Amino acid sequence: MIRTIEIVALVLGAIIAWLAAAYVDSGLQFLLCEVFLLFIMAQMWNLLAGYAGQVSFGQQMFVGLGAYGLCLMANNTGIPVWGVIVIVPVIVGLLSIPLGMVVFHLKHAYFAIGMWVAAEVVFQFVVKTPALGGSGGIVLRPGGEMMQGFPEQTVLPVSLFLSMALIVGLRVFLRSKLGLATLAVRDNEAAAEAAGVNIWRLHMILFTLTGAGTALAAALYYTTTLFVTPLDAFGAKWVVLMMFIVVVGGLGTLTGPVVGLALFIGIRELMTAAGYSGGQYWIVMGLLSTGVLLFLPQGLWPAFSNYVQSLRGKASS
Amino acid sequence: MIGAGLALNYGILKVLQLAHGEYITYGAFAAVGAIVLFPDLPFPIVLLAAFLACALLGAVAQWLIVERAMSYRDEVVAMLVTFGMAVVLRDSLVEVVGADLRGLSVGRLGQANFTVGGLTLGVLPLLSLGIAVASFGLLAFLTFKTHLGRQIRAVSDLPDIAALVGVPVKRIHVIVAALSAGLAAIAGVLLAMRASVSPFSGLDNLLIAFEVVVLGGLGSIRGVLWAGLLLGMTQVVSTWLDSNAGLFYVHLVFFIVLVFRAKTGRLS
Repeated sequence: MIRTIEIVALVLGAIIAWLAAAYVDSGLQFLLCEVFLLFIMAQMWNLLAGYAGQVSFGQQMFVGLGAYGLCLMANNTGIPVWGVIVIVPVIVGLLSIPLGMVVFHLKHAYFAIGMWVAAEVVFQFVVKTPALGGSGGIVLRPGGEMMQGFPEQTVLPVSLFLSMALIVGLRVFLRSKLGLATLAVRDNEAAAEAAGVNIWRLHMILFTLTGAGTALAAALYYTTTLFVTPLDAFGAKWVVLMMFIVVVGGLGTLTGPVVGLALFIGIRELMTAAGYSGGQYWIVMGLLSTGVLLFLPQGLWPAFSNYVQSLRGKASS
Repeated sequence: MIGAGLALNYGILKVLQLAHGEYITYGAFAAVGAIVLFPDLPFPIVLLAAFLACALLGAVAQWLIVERAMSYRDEVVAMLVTFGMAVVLRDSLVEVVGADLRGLSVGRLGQANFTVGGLTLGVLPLLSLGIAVASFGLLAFLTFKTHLGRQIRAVSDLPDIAALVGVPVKRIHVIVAALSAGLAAIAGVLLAMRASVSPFSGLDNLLIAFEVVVLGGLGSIRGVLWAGLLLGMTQVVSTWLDSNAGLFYVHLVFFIVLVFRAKTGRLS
Protein backbone atom coordinates (compact mmCIF):
# COMPACT_ATOMS: atom_id res chain seq x y z
CA MET A 1 0.00 0.00 0.00
CA ILE A 2 2.40 2.69 1.20
CA ARG A 3 5.42 3.13 -1.05
CA THR A 4 9.03 3.47 0.04
CA ILE A 5 9.32 7.04 -1.19
CA GLU A 6 6.34 8.00 0.92
CA ILE A 7 7.87 6.44 4.03
CA VAL A 8 11.05 8.36 3.28
CA ALA A 9 8.98 11.54 2.98
CA LEU A 10 7.37 10.89 6.36
CA VAL A 11 10.72 10.30 8.05
CA LEU A 12 12.17 13.41 6.42
CA GLY A 13 9.11 15.37 7.57
CA ALA A 14 9.69 14.21 11.14
CA ILE A 15 13.37 15.18 11.03
CA ILE A 16 12.64 18.61 9.55
CA ALA A 17 9.90 19.11 12.13
CA TRP A 18 12.32 18.30 14.94
CA LEU A 19 14.98 20.61 13.50
CA ALA A 20 12.43 23.42 13.01
CA ALA A 21 11.35 23.19 16.64
CA ALA A 22 14.92 23.46 17.84
CA TYR A 23 16.50 26.01 15.51
CA VAL A 24 13.88 28.36 14.02
CA ASP A 25 13.38 31.66 15.89
CA SER A 26 10.10 32.49 17.55
CA GLY A 27 8.71 35.05 15.08
CA LEU A 28 9.30 32.77 12.12
CA GLN A 29 7.77 29.89 14.07
CA PHE A 30 4.48 31.81 14.34
CA LEU A 31 4.45 32.47 10.62
CA LEU A 32 5.28 28.85 9.78
CA CYS A 33 2.60 27.58 12.16
CA GLU A 34 0.06 29.68 10.29
CA VAL A 35 1.38 28.50 6.92
CA PHE A 36 1.16 24.81 7.75
CA LEU A 37 -2.20 25.06 9.49
CA LEU A 38 -3.64 27.04 6.58
CA PHE A 39 -2.26 24.37 4.31
CA ILE A 40 -4.11 21.67 6.22
CA MET A 41 -7.36 23.67 6.12
CA ALA A 42 -6.98 24.42 2.41
CA GLN A 43 -6.25 20.79 1.66
CA MET A 44 -9.39 19.84 3.62
CA TRP A 45 -11.50 22.23 1.55
CA ASN A 46 -9.81 20.85 -1.55
CA LEU A 47 -10.71 17.29 -0.54
CA LEU A 48 -14.34 18.30 -0.09
CA ALA A 49 -14.69 20.59 -3.10
CA GLY A 50 -12.14 19.22 -5.55
CA TYR A 51 -12.51 15.51 -4.90
CA ALA A 52 -15.96 15.08 -3.40
CA GLY A 53 -17.43 17.86 -5.57
CA GLN A 54 -19.09 19.61 -2.65
CA VAL A 55 -18.23 23.30 -2.69
CA SER A 56 -18.93 24.66 0.78
CA PHE A 57 -18.96 28.28 1.96
CA GLY A 58 -19.32 27.19 5.58
CA GLN A 59 -16.01 25.61 6.52
CA GLN A 60 -15.38 28.44 8.99
CA MET A 61 -17.94 26.64 11.15
CA PHE A 62 -15.41 23.87 11.77
CA VAL A 63 -12.69 26.44 12.48
CA GLY A 64 -14.96 28.05 15.07
CA LEU A 65 -16.03 24.74 16.56
CA GLY A 66 -12.41 23.62 16.83
CA ALA A 67 -11.38 26.88 18.48
CA TYR A 68 -14.28 26.91 20.93
CA GLY A 69 -13.99 23.19 21.63
CA LEU A 70 -10.35 23.75 22.54
CA CYS A 71 -10.96 26.69 24.86
CA LEU A 72 -14.07 25.30 26.56
CA MET A 73 -12.66 21.86 27.21
CA ALA A 74 -9.21 23.03 28.26
CA ASN A 75 -10.62 25.71 30.57
CA ASN A 76 -13.28 23.61 32.25
CA THR A 77 -11.66 20.21 32.63
CA GLY A 78 -8.34 18.95 33.89
CA ILE A 79 -7.37 17.44 30.53
CA PRO A 80 -4.02 18.87 29.37
CA VAL A 81 -4.15 21.10 26.26
CA TRP A 82 -2.45 18.58 23.99
CA GLY A 83 -4.98 15.94 25.00
CA VAL A 84 -7.79 18.36 24.23
CA ILE A 85 -6.36 19.02 20.77
CA VAL A 86 -6.66 15.30 20.05
CA ILE A 87 -10.20 14.99 21.45
CA VAL A 88 -11.73 18.10 19.83
CA PRO A 89 -11.48 16.91 16.19
CA VAL A 90 -13.13 13.65 17.18
CA ILE A 91 -16.04 15.52 18.75
CA VAL A 92 -16.36 17.91 15.81
CA GLY A 93 -16.22 14.95 13.43
CA LEU A 94 -19.04 13.26 15.33
CA LEU A 95 -21.04 16.51 15.34
CA SER A 96 -20.65 16.83 11.59
CA ILE A 97 -22.44 13.50 11.02
CA PRO A 98 -25.94 14.79 11.96
CA LEU A 99 -25.14 18.06 10.17
CA GLY A 100 -24.21 16.08 7.07
CA MET A 101 -27.44 14.09 7.28
CA VAL A 102 -29.29 17.39 7.09
CA VAL A 103 -27.27 19.35 4.53
CA PHE A 104 -26.76 16.43 2.15
CA HIS A 105 -30.35 16.97 1.08
CA LEU A 106 -29.07 20.12 -0.59
CA LYS A 107 -27.25 20.01 -3.91
CA HIS A 108 -24.59 22.20 -5.53
CA ALA A 109 -25.22 25.90 -4.93
CA TYR A 110 -27.84 25.10 -2.31
CA PHE A 111 -25.29 23.05 -0.41
CA ALA A 112 -22.74 25.86 -0.49
CA ILE A 113 -25.24 28.39 0.81
CA GLY A 114 -26.82 25.96 3.27
CA MET A 115 -23.41 25.36 4.84
CA TRP A 116 -22.77 29.10 5.00
CA VAL A 117 -26.09 29.69 6.74
CA ALA A 118 -25.41 26.79 9.14
CA ALA A 119 -22.06 28.40 10.02
CA GLU A 120 -23.83 31.72 10.51
CA VAL A 121 -26.42 30.11 12.81
CA VAL A 122 -23.67 28.67 15.01
CA PHE A 123 -21.85 32.02 14.96
CA GLN A 124 -24.94 33.98 16.01
CA PHE A 125 -25.65 31.40 18.72
CA VAL A 126 -22.16 31.80 20.18
CA VAL A 127 -22.44 35.61 20.06
CA LYS A 128 -25.73 35.67 21.94
CA THR A 129 -24.76 33.06 24.57
CA PRO A 130 -22.96 34.71 27.52
CA ALA A 131 -21.70 31.32 28.79
CA LEU A 132 -19.64 31.03 25.60
CA GLY A 133 -18.14 34.47 26.13
CA GLY A 134 -20.60 36.30 23.87
CA SER A 135 -19.13 38.57 21.25
CA GLY A 136 -16.07 39.23 23.42
CA GLY A 137 -14.75 35.69 23.08
CA ILE A 138 -12.78 33.66 25.61
CA VAL A 139 -9.16 33.36 26.68
CA LEU A 140 -7.44 29.99 26.68
CA ARG A 141 -6.72 29.15 30.35
CA PRO A 142 -6.01 25.42 30.66
CA GLY A 143 -7.43 24.28 33.99
CA GLY A 144 -7.98 27.90 35.01
CA GLU A 145 -4.28 28.81 34.76
CA MET A 146 -2.58 31.00 32.19
CA MET A 147 -0.93 29.04 29.41
CA GLN A 148 2.72 28.32 30.24
CA GLY A 149 5.72 28.06 27.97
CA PHE A 150 5.88 28.62 24.22
CA PRO A 151 3.07 26.71 22.48
CA GLU A 152 4.40 27.54 19.01
CA GLN A 153 7.49 25.44 19.73
CA THR A 154 5.25 22.39 19.88
CA VAL A 155 2.62 23.46 17.36
CA LEU A 156 5.16 24.09 14.60
CA PRO A 157 6.67 20.57 14.46
CA VAL A 158 3.23 19.02 14.92
CA SER A 159 1.66 21.03 12.09
CA LEU A 160 4.68 20.58 9.84
CA PHE A 161 4.64 16.85 10.32
CA LEU A 162 0.85 16.72 9.93
CA SER A 163 1.07 18.59 6.60
CA MET A 164 3.60 16.09 5.33
CA ALA A 165 1.56 13.18 6.67
CA LEU A 166 -1.55 14.65 5.07
CA ILE A 167 -0.01 14.67 1.59
CA VAL A 168 1.22 11.09 2.02
CA GLY A 169 -2.10 10.07 3.55
CA LEU A 170 -4.09 11.60 0.69
CA ARG A 171 -1.88 9.88 -1.90
CA VAL A 172 -2.41 6.54 -0.19
CA PHE A 173 -6.12 7.29 0.19
CA LEU A 174 -6.56 8.09 -3.50
CA ARG A 175 -5.03 4.70 -4.41
CA SER A 176 -7.34 2.86 -2.01
CA LYS A 177 -10.73 1.47 -2.99
CA LEU A 178 -12.50 4.38 -1.33
CA GLY A 179 -10.23 6.89 -3.06
CA LEU A 180 -10.86 5.36 -6.45
CA ALA A 181 -14.57 5.51 -5.72
CA THR A 182 -14.18 9.21 -4.85
CA LEU A 183 -12.50 9.94 -8.17
CA ALA A 184 -15.15 7.96 -10.01
CA VAL A 185 -17.92 9.98 -8.34
CA ARG A 186 -16.16 13.22 -9.18
CA ASP A 187 -15.83 12.30 -12.83
CA ASN A 188 -19.27 10.85 -13.35
CA GLU A 189 -21.68 10.58 -10.47
CA ALA A 190 -24.36 8.57 -12.26
CA ALA A 191 -21.89 6.03 -13.68
CA ALA A 192 -20.18 5.60 -10.31
CA GLU A 193 -23.50 4.96 -8.61
CA ALA A 194 -24.43 2.43 -11.27
CA ALA A 195 -21.11 0.68 -10.64
CA GLY A 196 -22.07 0.22 -7.02
CA VAL A 197 -20.58 3.20 -5.18
CA ASN A 198 -22.64 4.34 -2.21
CA ILE A 199 -22.35 8.07 -2.88
CA TRP A 200 -24.09 9.22 0.27
CA ARG A 201 -21.82 7.14 2.50
CA LEU A 202 -18.73 8.30 0.61
CA HIS A 203 -19.69 11.96 0.92
CA MET A 204 -20.42 11.47 4.60
CA ILE A 205 -16.99 9.95 5.24
CA LEU A 206 -15.23 12.81 3.43
CA PHE A 207 -17.43 15.44 5.07
CA THR A 208 -16.68 14.08 8.54
CA LEU A 209 -12.96 13.78 7.84
CA THR A 210 -12.66 17.30 6.47
CA GLY A 211 -14.67 18.70 9.36
CA ALA A 212 -12.44 16.95 11.89
CA GLY A 213 -9.26 17.94 10.02
CA THR A 214 -10.28 21.59 9.85
CA ALA A 215 -11.13 21.56 13.55
CA LEU A 216 -7.75 20.00 14.37
CA ALA A 217 -5.91 22.71 12.45
CA ALA A 218 -8.06 25.36 14.14
CA ALA A 219 -7.43 23.95 17.62
CA LEU A 220 -3.68 24.01 16.93
CA TYR A 221 -3.89 27.56 15.56
CA TYR A 222 -5.78 28.93 18.55
CA THR A 223 -3.32 27.27 20.91
CA THR A 224 -0.72 29.72 19.60
CA THR A 225 -3.00 32.79 19.67
CA LEU A 226 -4.26 32.00 23.22
CA PHE A 227 -7.68 33.63 22.81
CA VAL A 228 -10.65 33.29 20.51
CA THR A 229 -13.42 35.68 19.45
CA PRO A 230 -16.47 34.57 17.48
CA LEU A 231 -15.92 37.18 14.77
CA ASP A 232 -12.42 35.85 14.17
CA ALA A 233 -13.04 32.11 14.52
CA PHE A 234 -16.31 32.04 12.57
CA GLY A 235 -15.15 34.70 10.10
CA ALA A 236 -15.73 34.16 6.40
CA LYS A 237 -12.03 35.00 5.91
CA TRP A 238 -11.17 31.37 6.67
CA VAL A 239 -13.22 29.90 3.89
CA VAL A 240 -12.15 32.74 1.57
CA LEU A 241 -8.51 31.88 2.22
CA MET A 242 -9.09 28.16 1.71
CA MET A 243 -10.95 28.81 -1.52
CA PHE A 244 -8.42 31.24 -2.96
CA ILE A 245 -5.44 29.05 -2.10
CA VAL A 246 -7.01 25.96 -3.62
CA VAL A 247 -8.56 27.58 -6.67
CA VAL A 248 -5.50 29.58 -7.68
CA GLY A 249 -3.22 26.60 -7.15
CA GLY A 250 -5.48 24.05 -8.77
CA LEU A 251 -8.72 22.53 -7.51
CA GLY A 252 -8.68 18.75 -7.19
CA THR A 253 -4.89 18.36 -7.26
CA LEU A 254 -2.63 17.63 -4.31
CA THR A 255 0.18 19.95 -5.41
CA GLY A 256 -2.07 22.90 -6.34
CA PRO A 257 -2.74 24.11 -2.79
CA VAL A 258 1.02 24.13 -2.09
CA VAL A 259 1.52 26.49 -5.04
CA GLY A 260 -1.48 28.62 -4.04
CA LEU A 261 -0.36 28.86 -0.43
CA ALA A 262 3.22 29.79 -1.33
CA LEU A 263 1.88 32.52 -3.59
CA PHE A 264 -0.54 33.92 -1.04
CA ILE A 265 1.80 33.95 1.94
CA GLY A 266 4.69 35.16 -0.23
CA ILE A 267 2.72 38.09 -1.62
CA ARG A 268 1.36 38.94 1.82
CA GLU A 269 4.78 39.02 3.45
CA LEU A 270 6.26 41.02 0.56
CA MET A 271 3.43 43.55 0.57
CA THR A 272 3.49 43.90 4.36
CA ALA A 273 7.25 44.42 4.26
CA ALA A 274 6.80 47.05 1.54
CA GLY A 275 4.26 48.88 3.70
CA TYR A 276 0.99 48.15 1.89
CA SER A 277 -2.22 47.83 3.90
CA GLY A 278 -4.28 44.70 4.43
CA GLY A 279 -6.99 46.09 2.18
CA GLN A 280 -4.57 46.57 -0.69
CA TYR A 281 -3.34 43.01 -0.18
CA TRP A 282 -6.89 41.69 -0.57
CA ILE A 283 -7.41 43.74 -3.72
CA VAL A 284 -4.34 42.11 -5.23
CA MET A 285 -5.54 38.68 -4.09
CA GLY A 286 -8.99 39.24 -5.57
CA LEU A 287 -7.52 40.40 -8.88
CA LEU A 288 -5.09 37.49 -8.93
CA SER A 289 -7.73 34.85 -8.33
CA THR A 290 -10.16 36.43 -10.79
CA GLY A 291 -7.43 36.58 -13.41
CA VAL A 292 -6.30 32.99 -12.84
CA LEU A 293 -9.88 31.76 -13.03
CA LEU A 294 -10.56 33.64 -16.23
CA PHE A 295 -7.48 32.56 -18.11
CA LEU A 296 -6.49 29.23 -16.48
CA PRO A 297 -9.70 27.97 -14.89
CA GLN A 298 -8.10 24.73 -13.68
CA GLY A 299 -5.56 26.67 -11.62
CA LEU A 300 -1.85 27.35 -11.94
CA TRP A 301 -0.43 23.93 -11.17
CA PRO A 302 -2.43 21.86 -13.69
CA ALA A 303 -1.75 24.50 -16.35
CA PHE A 304 1.95 24.38 -15.57
CA SER A 305 2.21 20.59 -15.59
CA ASN A 306 0.23 20.40 -18.84
CA TYR A 307 2.64 22.89 -20.35
CA VAL A 308 5.66 20.88 -19.22
CA GLN A 309 4.12 17.72 -20.64
CA SER A 310 3.46 19.34 -23.97
CA LEU A 311 7.10 20.46 -24.08
CA ARG A 312 8.21 16.91 -23.39
CA GLY A 313 5.90 15.62 -26.07
CA LYS A 314 7.50 17.99 -28.59
CA ALA A 315 11.02 17.03 -27.51
CA SER A 316 10.41 13.28 -27.92
CA SER A 317 8.65 13.50 -31.26
CA MET B 1 -35.98 44.10 -2.09
CA ILE B 2 -32.43 42.99 -1.39
CA GLY B 3 -33.19 39.72 -3.08
CA ALA B 4 -34.98 40.94 -6.20
CA GLY B 5 -31.88 41.75 -8.21
CA LEU B 6 -30.20 38.50 -7.25
CA ALA B 7 -33.29 36.51 -8.18
CA LEU B 8 -33.27 38.12 -11.60
CA ASN B 9 -29.58 37.42 -12.04
CA TYR B 10 -29.64 33.80 -10.92
CA GLY B 11 -32.91 33.03 -12.65
CA ILE B 12 -31.71 34.19 -16.02
CA LEU B 13 -27.94 34.02 -16.08
CA LYS B 14 -27.77 30.86 -13.92
CA VAL B 15 -24.74 32.36 -12.20
CA LEU B 16 -24.60 32.82 -8.47
CA GLN B 17 -23.56 36.47 -8.35
CA LEU B 18 -21.50 36.69 -5.16
CA ALA B 19 -20.68 40.35 -5.78
CA HIS B 20 -24.33 41.24 -5.31
CA GLY B 21 -23.83 42.26 -1.69
CA GLU B 22 -21.14 44.66 -2.83
CA TYR B 23 -23.49 46.20 -5.38
CA ILE B 24 -25.88 46.91 -2.51
CA THR B 25 -23.11 48.62 -0.57
CA TYR B 26 -21.97 50.56 -3.63
CA GLY B 27 -25.52 51.74 -4.23
CA ALA B 28 -25.74 53.08 -0.71
CA PHE B 29 -22.37 54.78 -0.98
CA ALA B 30 -23.18 56.24 -4.36
CA ALA B 31 -26.23 57.89 -2.78
CA VAL B 32 -24.19 59.12 0.19
CA GLY B 33 -21.57 60.49 -2.16
CA ALA B 34 -24.15 62.20 -4.37
CA ILE B 35 -25.69 63.93 -1.36
CA VAL B 36 -22.31 65.02 -0.04
CA LEU B 37 -21.43 66.56 -3.40
CA PHE B 38 -24.80 68.15 -4.12
CA PRO B 39 -26.69 68.62 -0.82
CA ASP B 40 -29.77 70.01 -2.53
CA LEU B 41 -30.37 67.16 -4.91
CA PRO B 42 -33.97 65.88 -4.73
CA PHE B 43 -34.31 62.33 -3.49
CA PRO B 44 -35.63 60.70 -6.70
CA ILE B 45 -32.58 61.98 -8.59
CA VAL B 46 -30.27 60.49 -5.95
CA LEU B 47 -32.05 57.17 -6.23
CA LEU B 48 -31.80 57.30 -10.00
CA ALA B 49 -28.10 58.19 -9.84
CA ALA B 50 -27.35 55.24 -7.55
CA PHE B 51 -29.36 52.96 -9.83
CA LEU B 52 -27.51 54.10 -12.94
CA ALA B 53 -24.07 53.98 -11.34
CA CYS B 54 -24.51 50.40 -10.16
CA ALA B 55 -26.22 49.32 -13.36
CA LEU B 56 -23.18 50.56 -15.26
CA LEU B 57 -20.86 48.73 -12.86
CA GLY B 58 -22.89 45.54 -13.17
CA ALA B 59 -22.99 45.77 -16.97
CA VAL B 60 -19.25 46.34 -17.29
CA ALA B 61 -18.48 43.50 -14.89
CA GLN B 62 -20.76 41.15 -16.79
CA TRP B 63 -19.41 42.21 -20.17
CA LEU B 64 -15.72 42.03 -19.30
CA ILE B 65 -15.49 39.31 -16.67
CA VAL B 66 -18.51 37.17 -15.89
CA GLU B 67 -19.44 36.49 -19.51
CA ARG B 68 -16.04 34.98 -20.09
CA ALA B 69 -16.20 32.92 -16.91
CA MET B 70 -19.64 31.63 -17.89
CA SER B 71 -18.27 30.06 -21.04
CA TYR B 72 -16.48 27.41 -18.96
CA ARG B 73 -18.53 24.30 -18.42
CA ASP B 74 -18.08 24.32 -14.68
CA GLU B 75 -20.51 26.67 -12.95
CA VAL B 76 -18.18 26.83 -9.96
CA VAL B 77 -15.72 28.90 -12.02
CA ALA B 78 -18.24 31.69 -12.59
CA MET B 79 -19.27 31.61 -8.95
CA LEU B 80 -15.69 31.92 -7.72
CA VAL B 81 -14.91 34.68 -10.22
CA THR B 82 -17.75 36.78 -8.88
CA PHE B 83 -16.40 36.13 -5.41
CA GLY B 84 -12.99 37.44 -6.41
CA MET B 85 -14.76 40.51 -7.82
CA ALA B 86 -16.61 40.96 -4.54
CA VAL B 87 -13.37 41.01 -2.57
CA VAL B 88 -11.79 43.51 -4.96
CA LEU B 89 -14.86 45.77 -4.88
CA ARG B 90 -15.11 45.70 -1.10
CA ASP B 91 -11.51 46.48 -0.36
CA SER B 92 -11.31 49.15 -3.05
CA LEU B 93 -14.23 50.86 -1.36
CA VAL B 94 -12.55 50.60 2.04
CA GLU B 95 -9.38 52.10 0.57
CA VAL B 96 -11.27 55.02 -0.95
CA VAL B 97 -13.82 56.00 1.68
CA GLY B 98 -12.40 54.41 4.83
CA ALA B 99 -14.03 51.84 7.08
CA ASP B 100 -16.49 54.21 8.78
CA LEU B 101 -20.21 53.73 9.02
CA ARG B 102 -22.23 56.10 6.86
CA GLY B 103 -25.87 56.99 7.01
CA LEU B 104 -28.17 58.81 4.63
CA SER B 105 -29.68 61.76 6.37
CA VAL B 106 -33.33 61.98 5.49
CA GLY B 107 -34.10 64.98 7.69
CA ARG B 108 -37.55 65.19 9.23
CA LEU B 109 -38.75 62.31 7.10
CA GLY B 110 -37.13 59.82 9.50
CA GLN B 111 -39.39 60.75 12.38
CA ALA B 112 -42.45 61.75 10.38
CA ASN B 113 -45.49 59.60 10.91
CA PHE B 114 -49.27 59.73 10.73
CA THR B 115 -52.11 57.89 12.37
CA VAL B 116 -54.75 55.91 10.54
CA GLY B 117 -57.53 54.26 12.58
CA GLY B 118 -55.40 54.02 15.73
CA LEU B 119 -52.29 52.66 13.96
CA THR B 120 -49.27 54.92 13.85
CA LEU B 121 -47.30 54.48 10.65
CA GLY B 122 -43.90 55.98 9.90
CA VAL B 123 -43.58 57.70 6.55
CA LEU B 124 -40.12 56.26 5.90
CA PRO B 125 -41.01 52.54 6.10
CA LEU B 126 -44.07 53.24 3.96
CA LEU B 127 -41.93 55.08 1.43
CA SER B 128 -39.50 52.14 1.34
CA LEU B 129 -42.36 49.70 0.88
CA GLY B 130 -43.77 51.92 -1.86
CA ILE B 131 -40.46 52.05 -3.72
CA ALA B 132 -40.03 48.30 -3.35
CA VAL B 133 -43.53 47.53 -4.66
CA ALA B 134 -43.09 50.01 -7.51
CA SER B 135 -39.79 48.39 -8.53
CA PHE B 136 -41.39 44.95 -8.43
CA GLY B 137 -44.25 46.22 -10.54
CA LEU B 138 -41.93 47.75 -13.11
CA LEU B 139 -39.84 44.60 -13.21
CA ALA B 140 -42.90 42.41 -13.72
CA PHE B 141 -44.15 44.73 -16.48
CA LEU B 142 -40.74 44.65 -18.13
CA THR B 143 -40.44 40.86 -18.08
CA PHE B 144 -43.99 39.97 -19.08
CA LYS B 145 -45.26 42.77 -21.28
CA THR B 146 -42.38 44.03 -23.40
CA HIS B 147 -40.36 42.70 -26.30
CA LEU B 148 -37.20 42.88 -24.19
CA GLY B 149 -38.94 40.87 -21.46
CA ARG B 150 -39.89 38.19 -23.96
CA GLN B 151 -36.27 37.96 -25.06
CA ILE B 152 -35.10 37.77 -21.45
CA ARG B 153 -37.50 34.93 -20.70
CA ALA B 154 -36.44 33.12 -23.85
CA VAL B 155 -32.76 33.34 -22.89
CA SER B 156 -33.62 32.10 -19.42
CA ASP B 157 -35.59 29.07 -20.65
CA LEU B 158 -33.60 27.85 -23.64
CA PRO B 159 -30.51 29.94 -24.33
CA ASP B 160 -29.43 27.88 -27.35
CA ILE B 161 -32.77 28.10 -29.11
CA ALA B 162 -33.07 31.78 -28.25
CA ALA B 163 -29.70 32.38 -29.90
CA LEU B 164 -30.84 30.37 -32.95
CA VAL B 165 -33.89 32.53 -33.50
CA GLY B 166 -31.80 35.66 -33.34
CA VAL B 167 -31.92 36.88 -29.76
CA PRO B 168 -28.68 38.72 -28.92
CA VAL B 169 -27.95 36.49 -25.90
CA LYS B 170 -24.85 38.32 -24.75
CA ARG B 171 -26.57 41.69 -24.88
CA ILE B 172 -29.48 40.29 -22.89
CA HIS B 173 -27.05 38.96 -20.29
CA VAL B 174 -25.46 42.39 -19.93
CA ILE B 175 -28.86 44.07 -19.66
CA VAL B 176 -29.99 41.60 -17.00
CA ALA B 177 -26.77 42.07 -15.04
CA ALA B 178 -27.21 45.86 -15.21
CA LEU B 179 -30.84 45.66 -14.08
CA SER B 180 -29.94 43.36 -11.23
CA ALA B 181 -27.09 45.57 -10.03
CA GLY B 182 -29.36 48.61 -10.33
CA LEU B 183 -32.01 46.95 -8.17
CA ALA B 184 -29.29 46.15 -5.65
CA ALA B 185 -28.39 49.84 -5.59
CA ILE B 186 -31.98 50.84 -4.81
CA ALA B 187 -32.03 48.28 -2.00
CA GLY B 188 -28.78 49.76 -0.75
CA VAL B 189 -30.16 53.32 -0.71
CA LEU B 190 -33.25 52.18 1.19
CA LEU B 191 -31.05 50.34 3.71
CA ALA B 192 -28.84 53.39 4.17
CA MET B 193 -31.90 55.53 4.90
CA ARG B 194 -33.04 53.22 7.68
CA ALA B 195 -29.70 52.44 9.27
CA SER B 196 -26.09 53.18 8.54
CA VAL B 197 -24.01 51.17 6.09
CA SER B 198 -20.38 50.16 6.30
CA PRO B 199 -18.16 48.99 3.43
CA PHE B 200 -18.09 45.60 5.17
CA SER B 201 -21.84 45.00 5.11
CA GLY B 202 -21.70 43.38 1.67
CA LEU B 203 -21.33 39.78 2.84
CA ASP B 204 -24.16 40.01 5.37
CA ASN B 205 -26.46 41.55 2.79
CA LEU B 206 -25.44 38.91 0.26
CA LEU B 207 -26.42 36.15 2.67
CA ILE B 208 -29.83 37.73 3.31
CA ALA B 209 -30.29 38.14 -0.43
CA PHE B 210 -29.49 34.46 -0.95
CA GLU B 211 -31.97 33.43 1.68
CA VAL B 212 -34.72 35.51 0.17
CA VAL B 213 -34.01 34.18 -3.31
CA VAL B 214 -33.76 30.54 -2.32
CA LEU B 215 -36.89 30.70 -0.18
CA GLY B 216 -38.82 32.49 -2.88
CA GLY B 217 -37.88 29.91 -5.47
CA LEU B 218 -35.09 30.65 -7.90
CA GLY B 219 -36.00 33.13 -10.55
CA SER B 220 -39.50 33.73 -9.24
CA ILE B 221 -40.00 37.39 -8.55
CA ARG B 222 -43.32 37.13 -6.74
CA GLY B 223 -41.93 34.36 -4.51
CA VAL B 224 -39.09 36.67 -3.57
CA LEU B 225 -41.56 39.26 -2.28
CA TRP B 226 -43.22 36.67 0.00
CA ALA B 227 -39.89 35.28 1.21
CA GLY B 228 -38.69 38.80 2.01
CA LEU B 229 -41.83 39.37 4.04
CA LEU B 230 -41.41 36.05 5.92
CA LEU B 231 -37.79 36.72 6.86
CA GLY B 232 -38.55 40.36 7.70
CA MET B 233 -41.39 39.31 9.99
CA THR B 234 -39.16 36.70 11.65
CA GLN B 235 -36.63 39.42 12.34
CA VAL B 236 -39.23 41.78 13.84
CA VAL B 237 -40.94 39.13 15.98
CA SER B 238 -37.73 37.57 17.27
CA THR B 239 -36.24 40.96 18.19
CA TRP B 240 -39.44 41.70 20.06
CA LEU B 241 -39.27 38.42 22.02
CA ASP B 242 -35.51 38.29 22.58
CA SER B 243 -33.71 41.61 22.55
CA ASN B 244 -30.27 40.32 21.50
CA ALA B 245 -31.59 37.92 18.87
CA GLY B 246 -29.56 39.42 16.05
CA LEU B 247 -30.00 37.42 12.89
CA PHE B 248 -29.92 34.07 14.70
CA TYR B 249 -33.61 33.22 14.24
CA VAL B 250 -33.71 34.55 10.68
CA HIS B 251 -30.93 32.21 9.65
CA LEU B 252 -32.43 29.37 11.64
CA VAL B 253 -35.86 29.78 10.05
CA PHE B 254 -34.30 29.86 6.63
CA PHE B 255 -32.19 26.78 7.29
CA ILE B 256 -35.16 24.78 8.57
CA VAL B 257 -37.38 25.75 5.66
CA LEU B 258 -34.63 25.00 3.18
CA VAL B 259 -33.92 21.54 4.53
CA PHE B 260 -37.62 20.76 4.89
CA ARG B 261 -38.22 21.72 1.27
CA ALA B 262 -35.21 19.71 0.10
CA LYS B 263 -36.41 16.70 2.06
CA THR B 264 -39.89 16.78 0.60
CA GLY B 265 -38.33 17.15 -2.83
CA ARG B 266 -39.87 20.50 -3.61
CA LEU B 267 -36.57 22.12 -4.51
CA SER B 268 -36.06 22.74 -8.17
